[in-house]
Amino acid sequence: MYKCPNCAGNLKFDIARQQLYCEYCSTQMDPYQYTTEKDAEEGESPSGEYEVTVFRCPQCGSEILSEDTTAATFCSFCGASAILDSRVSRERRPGIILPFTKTKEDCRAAYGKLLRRALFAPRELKDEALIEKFRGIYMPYWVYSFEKKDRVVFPGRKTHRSGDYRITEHYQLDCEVEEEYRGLAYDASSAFSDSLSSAIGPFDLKKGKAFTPSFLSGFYADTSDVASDVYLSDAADLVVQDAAKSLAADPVCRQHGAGLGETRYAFESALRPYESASELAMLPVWFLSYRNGERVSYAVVNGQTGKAAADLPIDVKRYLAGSLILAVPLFFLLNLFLTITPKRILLAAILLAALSMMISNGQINHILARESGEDDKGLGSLRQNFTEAATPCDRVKGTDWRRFFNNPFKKILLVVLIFYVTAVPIIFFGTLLEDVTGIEMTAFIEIAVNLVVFTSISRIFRGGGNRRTSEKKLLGGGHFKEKWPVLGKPLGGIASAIVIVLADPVSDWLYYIGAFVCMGMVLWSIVDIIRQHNRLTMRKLPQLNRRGGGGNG
Amino acid sequence: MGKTVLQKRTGRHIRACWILLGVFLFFIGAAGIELPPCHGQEPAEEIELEGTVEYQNPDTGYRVLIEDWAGLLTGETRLKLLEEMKAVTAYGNAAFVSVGANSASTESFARTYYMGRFGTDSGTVFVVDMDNRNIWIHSDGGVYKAVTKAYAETVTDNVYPYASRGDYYGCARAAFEQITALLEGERIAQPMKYISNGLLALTLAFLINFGLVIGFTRLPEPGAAAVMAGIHRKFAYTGLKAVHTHQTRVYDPVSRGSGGSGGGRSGGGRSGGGGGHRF
Repeated sequence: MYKCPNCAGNLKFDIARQQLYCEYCSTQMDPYQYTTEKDAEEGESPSGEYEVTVFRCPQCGSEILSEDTTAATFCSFCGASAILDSRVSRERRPGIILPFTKTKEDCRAAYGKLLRRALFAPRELKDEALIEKFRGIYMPYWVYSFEKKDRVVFPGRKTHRSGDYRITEHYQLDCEVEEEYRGLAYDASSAFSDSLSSAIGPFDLKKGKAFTPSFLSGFYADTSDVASDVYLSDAADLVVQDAAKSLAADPVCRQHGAGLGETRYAFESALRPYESASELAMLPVWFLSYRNGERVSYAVVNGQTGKAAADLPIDVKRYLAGSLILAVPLFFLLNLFLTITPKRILLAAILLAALSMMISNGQINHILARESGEDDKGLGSLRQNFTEAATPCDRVKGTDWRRFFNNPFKKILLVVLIFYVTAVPIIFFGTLLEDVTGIEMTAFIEIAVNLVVFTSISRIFRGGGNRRTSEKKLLGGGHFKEKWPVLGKPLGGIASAIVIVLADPVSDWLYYIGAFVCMGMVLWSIVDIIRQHNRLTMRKLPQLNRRGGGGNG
Repeated sequence: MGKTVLQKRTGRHIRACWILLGVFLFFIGAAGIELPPCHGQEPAEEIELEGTVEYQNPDTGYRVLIEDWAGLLTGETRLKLLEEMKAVTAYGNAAFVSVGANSASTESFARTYYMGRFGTDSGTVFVVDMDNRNIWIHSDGGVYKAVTKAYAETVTDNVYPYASRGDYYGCARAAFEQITALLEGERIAQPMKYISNGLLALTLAFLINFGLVIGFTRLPEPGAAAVMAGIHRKFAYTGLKAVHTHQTRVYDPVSRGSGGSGGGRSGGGRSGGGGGHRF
């Protein structure tokens, strides 16, 4: 706690004034001035550390730092209302701090604007009592800097044709480059998801200041638990891309084909910086958690720019009501412009079922990635054996059969198999569509079949690269056990519709029954899709091992 | 700030899903919207122009033809049907034809028959094709504006059960009743159309709303330019020069396929259209 030198009240950092401010006697102080005085009183801190109160949530194990010793009554990470345990601790001292410039009112306005776009969000998210729980938290970020000053050499290549020959002119280009990139920030807290931190970014690090603990007064801070090298390659890639884009735009590079096609890799490698540094920074985020049972969703607002992002679940009742309202004009439009025949309605049902399967499959892949930590590098880096155990593909049972296709002849067999499994249905449905609609489909069928076959061949025979990734793509993400109960519904609808198409009965009733069964399955699977969306937006309660959180979350 | 490949892939999946929805809507729209009549398609075969003018409306000059080549009607039902069909002659010609052997499609037969009997004059023909087990309505001229392809399909959908039971008179009578109703501006019962469209509208509404949810609430990732704008960035280069090192030649003959292009061909226009149903 920072005592006011005049009245001994609590000095807090005031966003509007950008000073420490006493709300009792209106004293203002420069944060750096107070630190100097406090340091003189308490003695010099050991290098690289500062003293702070650590609050620990008894439910999820999350820890949050504060300069204030007043008891915290709720946890920002799991949303639990509880008196958090507190202790005084020495923590690693960040190098940079970006003070809050957006007030809580700005934050509420930004959140309100975001919610206006959330058509089917639960009413609870708009509740004033909940919005009041927005908490100003300094989130730890790793800020990377890169430098390079060197002579770089890279190839260029231009090809032209002369008669029956393709002639390639090879060049060697060189120049002196000077790269200096400072301030690429990546969140250093496993409790702060990459998707949210990315969505409210970027911060303007040029306005960063040297850290001093008094900036934290009146706010909280999260602790850093992600190693500094986790995002280093991501940051370096951004630097390389930017440098490559700038250099490739030079007329000499364009004229000699540098940075294009096969020379791209060498070009980018030449520009990759070899000197890097990382520094811990505290960046301002307004943070809100909304707990619903054993799940929690977050809303965050950038404390510097006011950019808001949130996990926005769907209220099923509101979604149903909205869909019914939308269905009315759609019904009249369909009556005006669409003539339904039994075959057409069956075909429409099959296409809708295929569409719902695709959406559902994408959602499940996303869920699996989130819950395994694969979509969050920070969290993933903390999980032991992450790369070995947490990849969905590797958890699929019975992966041995993939090794069966390792030799070239068996790969060809796989291509033929894929052709029959994918191209034949395309031909079948294309022909059916042609029969029903009377639209010439031959060209579409040829393009679709060629795409399927060439994509399969390129994936199967692609050399090098990450074997596991290519296998995973080939299998569409794996996780049969999780996917089957959801994908089985539209698939069942499609199967029943196909049986009717093949039987080709005279009676319209069988077509209508098949179509209605299939569409019923689609509606059922859409309910699953909404549940999946809510599972994605309502995250698992944090169980932070690094902070001692057990399985009691 | 790091976003993994899988997130991007899921984003692409979802985008692909909405593209597929767009393609789907295009196709069902294309299937349902009145398609223009086919042009340039030659008649499958010539039809012998034999028939009896059963009736001619003295006011309009439009005719009714009943040519029961397959012998599906009795003399009595033929006369009854004639009476039913007379109402059509206020708007155009009307024909009933049954055929026992037909090597072409019912649609082609109906079109060729109509052209042979009435040319491009306004009217409609109801065909019972016993060879293909198909019924078909083909209309042209002013009648086609009321008895469109879509309505022809609806009418045949409504009446095909008569033909399935062998009641060809009942089938034709019901068909001409509905055609007359359409010509007089009335509505015909389309219960399955409304049920199907209702269910389809509901399903589409669910999917479109989900698209709206994803579109409005997705967590966006800032572009590289926005990230670079917020950092201290310096990139400079000097003395950029290129030196030619060597040349490679690869034998890659240009394929010399048969060139040239054929001349265009334009066919005569063809109006009218219709729809049918198996029985």
